[in-house]
Amino acid sequence: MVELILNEKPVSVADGTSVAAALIAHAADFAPLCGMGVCMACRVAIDGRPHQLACQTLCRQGMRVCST
Amino acid sequence: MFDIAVLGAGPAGLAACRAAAGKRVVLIDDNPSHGGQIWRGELAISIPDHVTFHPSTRVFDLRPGFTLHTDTQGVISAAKLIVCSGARELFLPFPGWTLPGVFGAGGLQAFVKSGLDVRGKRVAVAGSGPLLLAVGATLRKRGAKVSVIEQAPLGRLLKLLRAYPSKLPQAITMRLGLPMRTGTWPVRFDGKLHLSNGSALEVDYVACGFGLVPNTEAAQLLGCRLDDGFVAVDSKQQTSVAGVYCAGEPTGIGGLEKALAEGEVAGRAACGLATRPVSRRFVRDLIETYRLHPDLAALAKADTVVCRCENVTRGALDPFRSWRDAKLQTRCGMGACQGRICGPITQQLYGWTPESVRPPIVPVPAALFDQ
Amino acid sequence: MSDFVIVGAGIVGAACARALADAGADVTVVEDRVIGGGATAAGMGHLVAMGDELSAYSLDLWHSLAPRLPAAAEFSNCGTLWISEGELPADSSAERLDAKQLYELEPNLRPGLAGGLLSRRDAVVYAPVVTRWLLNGIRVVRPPVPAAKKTIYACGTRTSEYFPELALRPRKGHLAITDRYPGVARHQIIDIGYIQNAQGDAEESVAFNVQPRPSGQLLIGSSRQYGAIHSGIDPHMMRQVFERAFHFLPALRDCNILRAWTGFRACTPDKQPLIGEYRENVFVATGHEGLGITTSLGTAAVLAALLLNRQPPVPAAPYHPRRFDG
Repeated sequence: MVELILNEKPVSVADGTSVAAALIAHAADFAPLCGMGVCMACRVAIDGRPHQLACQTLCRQGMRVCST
Repeated sequence: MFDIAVLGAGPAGLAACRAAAGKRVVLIDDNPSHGGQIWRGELAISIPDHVTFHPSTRVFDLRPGFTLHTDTQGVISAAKLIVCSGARELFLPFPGWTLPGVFGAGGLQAFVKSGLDVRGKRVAVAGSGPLLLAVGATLRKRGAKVSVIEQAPLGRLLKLLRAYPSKLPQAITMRLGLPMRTGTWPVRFDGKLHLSNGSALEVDYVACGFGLVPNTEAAQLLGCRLDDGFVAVDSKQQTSVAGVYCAGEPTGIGGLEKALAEGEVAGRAACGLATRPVSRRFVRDLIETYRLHPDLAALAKADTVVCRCENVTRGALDPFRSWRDAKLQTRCGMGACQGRICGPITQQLYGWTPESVRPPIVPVPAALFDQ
Repeated sequence: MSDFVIVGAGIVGAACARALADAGADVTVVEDRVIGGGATAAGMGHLVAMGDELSAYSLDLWHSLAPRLPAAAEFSNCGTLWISEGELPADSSAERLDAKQLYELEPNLRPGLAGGLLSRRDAVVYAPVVTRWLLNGIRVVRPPVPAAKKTIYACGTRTSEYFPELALRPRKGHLAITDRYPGVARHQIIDIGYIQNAQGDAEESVAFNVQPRPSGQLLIGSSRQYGAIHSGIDPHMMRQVFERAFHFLPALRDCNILRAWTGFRACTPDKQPLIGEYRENVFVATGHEGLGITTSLGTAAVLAALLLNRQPPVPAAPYHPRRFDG
């Protein structure tokens, strides 16, 4: 399991889960579309870096994600 | 310098690599692993030993010579190129399509395969194309309660099956336990998915896509000629630019088998080996079977968002007569996706054709332009 | 027959059409592509006083016009911040800033700059929307060019397609735009060397020029090239533009670039536009180099005055289209 922070909330996900998959389950407003890095709707800030593609990023231990 | 660079590690790219045994081959893909997008996880092909594989690598510029400019692997040079950049989904807007819970069909499949739990979730897989059944089957295997909604009428689907009996077992397997409606499509989502036939489905998720659009940007950057939006190739998968080959969906939407066959031809042709042309019959038959009902271009209301990146509604776009005019005046297509999603929508709605392609073809940090 | 036919629906042509229509004339504009789709769309939309009468007068006109512009025109009085690694001109009328003041305004600039010049009246506008707005209610047709009492050619570099002997050269520029990064820059920031490049004749030159857009995106430029005909990106120019940009604003390195493009400025030997009568009943309004958007309004006022036999608001002689003859 991987523990990370999604929008200030601690969350636990299985290994190999993408940030997008985690956000769909835990962030009501998150609305990604294509799942393949084209639509750019899944851009989030990860560990302070803006505009990261959640669908192409795997969750890592201690990661801080902000989708708002 | 490599002998051959293969862009895209889906079925076409992998087949091309395998066919180019004995050459120094580099394989590049933006995903963390190989296998491609739309036909995720259905492939048992491994990466051959003679291939240098760069996953999680995005190519933002391609130049004659050839050089591929990447975000994580610097500049890669190769004498020949095989473009296997696949396809993306065609989305068509309808009221509610931008609400959370509405995903692409391939999109939801991708999320599920990267950890989204859909056990017990009610999912409508709607739109058009053979992808819907594949997605539906995947979701069902993962515990979702699925119904498939295909806009093509049943008669055309059966006609396709009769023409390709070898695809019958696969179709039956997928179809088993998957309630399916044909000849109808979503008209509105507001928590319930409302269909054109008057029914409404209670759903947790909507997975919606109306077909596939070829990813031709890399080929276009190199100057390859397009034919009706697809990369034009000869019987050896050679494009209009010497040394550049193209295989798979970018030459015509034809699914897994076509991608494998064309990838092999391209790989062999790039090595100077004998090849046999790949039939285009399935491409034509798919187009005919899944032709979109004209009503689909009229689902969007004036206040329905067409360009999601910049929040541009259909009403804002209606007054214009060309993609460029609309873009300059409304910002449609100027957002982060640079028209990848809304461009094909406006083509369906208005018949607009996109503009020429310039680097970067994916967003990359400015520091990379120092290469 | 229209009183006036204007060929070219860029911002210069549109401004001229507006000025003439507002004076009661019957005007037709001819455009074969997209309204505001040429250099008008490629440029930065920077409204800048460059020390000459036409741009100063034009800037005043922009400020008068601003309250009437639609929101989509994104008029923003953000000012220009001129910076330099060397000396800044002593005779400038702009407000002089010392280092402390400079870094208060723009904390992300590279350290070590001694100060800057702030032109508070300078602004930024989104030109394609303004162009369409100026043409509201004015007849716009596709070619062929209809007959008129007087015809005005305002087609930028394409004016040479009608008059190949006109003293016009295309001067290619490169620009790139980032994703949204609010706060990286607050003003349009330009290396003072830009002015030298614009007024000089080097075959290729680059000068740091960055503009924050209302969306939070950053527009990065600038470059000048003679002799380039194709509109594709020239990697060596784009690389130099970015090198200069990183040099002054290191934070740009980490900003994602969404798109890059080029445009062609219409350039005359003395870098001043051609405004006025070229032949009998044939007028031109072109050759604005990098100041087409800024001086579009002033150009229109001068041209309208010449066409309507009134006193031009600024002397028109420096812009005479035949001044390079013999």
